[in-house]
Amino acid sequence: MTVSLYEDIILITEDYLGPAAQRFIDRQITFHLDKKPEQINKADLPKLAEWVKVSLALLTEDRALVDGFSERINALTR
Amino acid sequence: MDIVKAKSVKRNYYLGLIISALVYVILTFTAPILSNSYNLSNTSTRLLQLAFVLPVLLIWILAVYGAANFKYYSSLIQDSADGKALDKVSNGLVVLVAGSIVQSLFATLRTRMITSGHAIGFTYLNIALTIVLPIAAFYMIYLGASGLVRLARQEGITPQSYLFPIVAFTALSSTYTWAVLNNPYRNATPDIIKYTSYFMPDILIILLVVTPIVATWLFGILAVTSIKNYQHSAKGSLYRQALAKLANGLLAVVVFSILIQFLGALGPSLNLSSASLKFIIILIYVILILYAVGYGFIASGAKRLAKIEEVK
Repeated sequence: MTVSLYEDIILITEDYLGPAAQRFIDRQITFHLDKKPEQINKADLPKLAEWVKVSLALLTEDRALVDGFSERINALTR
Repeated sequence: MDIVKAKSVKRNYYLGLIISALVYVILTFTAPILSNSYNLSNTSTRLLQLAFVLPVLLIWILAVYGAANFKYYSSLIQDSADGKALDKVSNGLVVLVAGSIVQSLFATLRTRMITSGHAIGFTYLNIALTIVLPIAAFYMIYLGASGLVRLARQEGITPQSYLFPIVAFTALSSTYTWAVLNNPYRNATPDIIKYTSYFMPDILIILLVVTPIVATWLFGILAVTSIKNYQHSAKGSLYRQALAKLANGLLAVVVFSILIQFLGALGPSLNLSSASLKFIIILIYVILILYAVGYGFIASGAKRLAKIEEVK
C-alpha cells in the first residue's frame, strides 16, 4: 500500500510549501519518476529526495531548509 | 490553465495597458484648455498636464504588472480549493485596476464635455464609474477572501482580529459621510471648473454615492482582514513568505485606495485654505506612491508563488 507513503510525503512537504505541497510533489513524481503520484514506493524515495532538493533550491537560498526537507523525505525509507 | 495559456493572458493585459496609455496621452494633450484661475499660458498648462500624466502612467504600469502576475499565478492553480478563492481575489484586482484606468480615461473627456454643455451628464457618468467598478472589484475580492478564510486553520482566527478594522471603517465612513454632506456645492455649483458638485439632492447623494462607497470600503476592509488571517494561519514556511508579500500588497492597495477616495472628498468639503489644500494634495501623492508600491509587492509575491507552481 503506497497511498499512506504518498500522504506522508505530502504532510512533510506541507511544512515548506503549504497548500502548494501536493501539486509540487505530484509534478516531481510525474516528471522525474515517470509514475502516477499514488504509485510511489519506498524504493523511489532516494531519487525523489534528490529531485526535491534540486527543485527546492530553485525556490530558496536557505541550504539548511533544503537539506532538512530532503533528509526528511529520505528518512521515510526507514 | 496551462502555463502557455496563462502567459498569453498576461501578455494581453500588457497589450491593453499600452493601448490605454496611448489613448490617455492623446486624449489628455488634445483636450481643449479652459481658462484657469492661475492665468497659466497654454504651454505651462501642457507642462503641468505632463507632470500629472507621468505619475499616472507609472502607477498604471505597476498596477497592471501586479494584477497580471497575480492573475497568472491564480490561473495556474485555479482547479484547487485555494486556487479557486485566490482566482476570485485576482479577478477583483483586475477589475479594480481596469476600473481605475477606465476612470482616468473618462476623466480626460471632462473639458470636452464641459465645453459642449454636458457638464452634468459627465458628472453623473463619472460618479457611476467611480462607484460601480470599485464596488464590483472589492466585492469579488471579498468573496475570494471569504473562501480563503474557510480553508484556513480556524484556531488562529478570532472575532477580535476584525475589531480594529471595523473600528477604523466606522471612523472613516462617518467622517466621509459628514465631509460629503458638508460640501457647500454638493447639490449645485456656480462654477464647475472651480467647485465640484454631485448635482443631486442630499437623499440621492446618500443613496447613490455615500452608501455604495461606504459598502465598497466595508468589503475591502473585511477582505484584507480575511486575507491577512489566512496568511497567518497558512502552513508552509516558503509558501507563507511568498504569500505575506502578496497579502501585504493587497492590504496596501485596498487601504490606500480607500484613503485616496476619503481624502478626495475632504478637500471640497472642508473649505480648506490654500496651504491646507496643498497639504492634502501632497498627502494624496504620497499615498498614490505607496499605493503603487503595494502593486509592486503583489507582483513580487505572485511571482514567487508562481515559481513554486512552475518548478519541476
